[in-house]
Amino acid sequence: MREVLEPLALIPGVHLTAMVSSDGVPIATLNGLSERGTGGSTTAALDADTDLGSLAAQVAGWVGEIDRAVGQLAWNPPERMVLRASQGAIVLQRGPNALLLVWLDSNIGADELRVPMDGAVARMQRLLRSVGTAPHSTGGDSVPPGALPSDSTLSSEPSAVQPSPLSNPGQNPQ
Amino acid sequence: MKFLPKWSARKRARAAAKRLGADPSPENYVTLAREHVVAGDLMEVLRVCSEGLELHPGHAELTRVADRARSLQLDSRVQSLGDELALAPRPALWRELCDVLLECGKLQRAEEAAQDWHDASTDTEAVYYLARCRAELFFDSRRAGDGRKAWEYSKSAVQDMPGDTRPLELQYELARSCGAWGEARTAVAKLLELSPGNPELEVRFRNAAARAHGSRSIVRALAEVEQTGRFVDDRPEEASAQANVAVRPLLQSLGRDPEVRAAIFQRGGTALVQGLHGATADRTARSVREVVQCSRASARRMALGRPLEICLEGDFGTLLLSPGELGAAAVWSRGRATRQHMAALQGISGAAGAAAGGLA
Repeated sequence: MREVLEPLALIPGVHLTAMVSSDGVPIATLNGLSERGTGGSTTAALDADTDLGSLAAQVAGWVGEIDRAVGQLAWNPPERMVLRASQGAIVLQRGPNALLLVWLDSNIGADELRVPMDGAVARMQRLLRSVGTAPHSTGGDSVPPGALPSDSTLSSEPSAVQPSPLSNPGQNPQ
Repeated sequence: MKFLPKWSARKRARAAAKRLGADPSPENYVTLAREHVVAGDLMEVLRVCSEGLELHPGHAELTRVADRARSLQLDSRVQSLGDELALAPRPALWRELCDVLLECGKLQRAEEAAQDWHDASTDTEAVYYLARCRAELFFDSRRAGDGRKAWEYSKSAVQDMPGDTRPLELQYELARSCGAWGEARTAVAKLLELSPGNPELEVRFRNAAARAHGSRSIVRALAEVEQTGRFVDDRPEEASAQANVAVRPLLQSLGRDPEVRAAIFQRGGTALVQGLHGATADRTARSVREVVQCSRASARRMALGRPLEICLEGDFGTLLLSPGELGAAAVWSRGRATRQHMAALQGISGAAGAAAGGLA
């Protein structure tokens, strides 16, 4: 997830980037990495007063209220939302089953984030596609991955693999 | 600045001043102010903007240029104060740094500076500045947590700075703004002990004492401000005929843009809608009102402060809103919102504010 959020976190003036599920649960988060973003006042205020969980819930609540308000006009839910206020701004973009959230300085134009956020959403989609296609590419009879990382040199030599008694449940282990 | 560009900028400024003399329109004021910006003369920029705003109150571009010039001027002072503090920190410099940052509206940076002051020395005045920063944050964001913190800091400052009226003034202002008249009366009584016979304080005391019976405690009053988003002396959001008269031509000119589907000004229970009719206009105005209300409440809860701009984009186009103190202006456009749309919305909010200010 870091590769999705990192390019956004590097933009000057960005204090926080996060992915939030549509029901308000934080999925991933990254503080601003640029000189202006790191240790910025907004991040400090966020750490002190608002934990990320409650911020994510409040953001999702706001999005829900906006959806309800524009729903009265038979409009589809907005894809991109910007709330610029005196002490900071948030920019939200809908991704696949999640919201991409960026918290930035009030004096930074939200338009400057349009292309990077489109890019981040595209990366999210690519990531989800690769996750979705991974099991099919290995074939139906593949062994599920173990709890420990496998050693490529061992796995390339079939003789080196010691069969586990549980791998053939039909045989008697003797 | 080198001689040739400076001479050229002065020449253009003289030409702009002549045009302004012939036609004192807001556009000509903006042009002259911009020429002074190019010449690097911030004092002249501020002077031209202030003169222009007296003639054309609430003009969005003039206000923006003036704010930017003021902010640049204060930023350079903050920079030099930082350098001086690194060299030889002393209370006068810390005090000025906090004051300048508060004046710029950089409230969180001001609080950080006050905290650094508090950590670096035993000067009790730092606590007063911490209280002031939190109080300004409360006045801006209307979060009860900020108000409570400001109240606690101000109580410490009152104890640590006996004989200083500033923490008591701050306590009075906090209590009065949210309607905690009992606490306001106590603060004014202490102020009167320090300045006996002060007529202004006596008026304040009589006013607070008359309202103190059965008034809310400070904690409850702060919570109510967070809940309602309103201070006791906020003007009611009622549409006045004068405000409508001032706003209507601006809405009409915005509605002439072929990209614009509707332009809306909404205040209290009344809305002016340009471009839509009948039930659709009513529904759209109601939705705009709900978007503004929920965004105000959410911005307060997320510690973002006062909302300045809301933008929603989707397959319906773009809905851009500018919530002002005395109503909200909105534009629904086919494509993306432009800078001109935002400037027009700020102009509408400014005109409504100026009309209401003229009335008050």
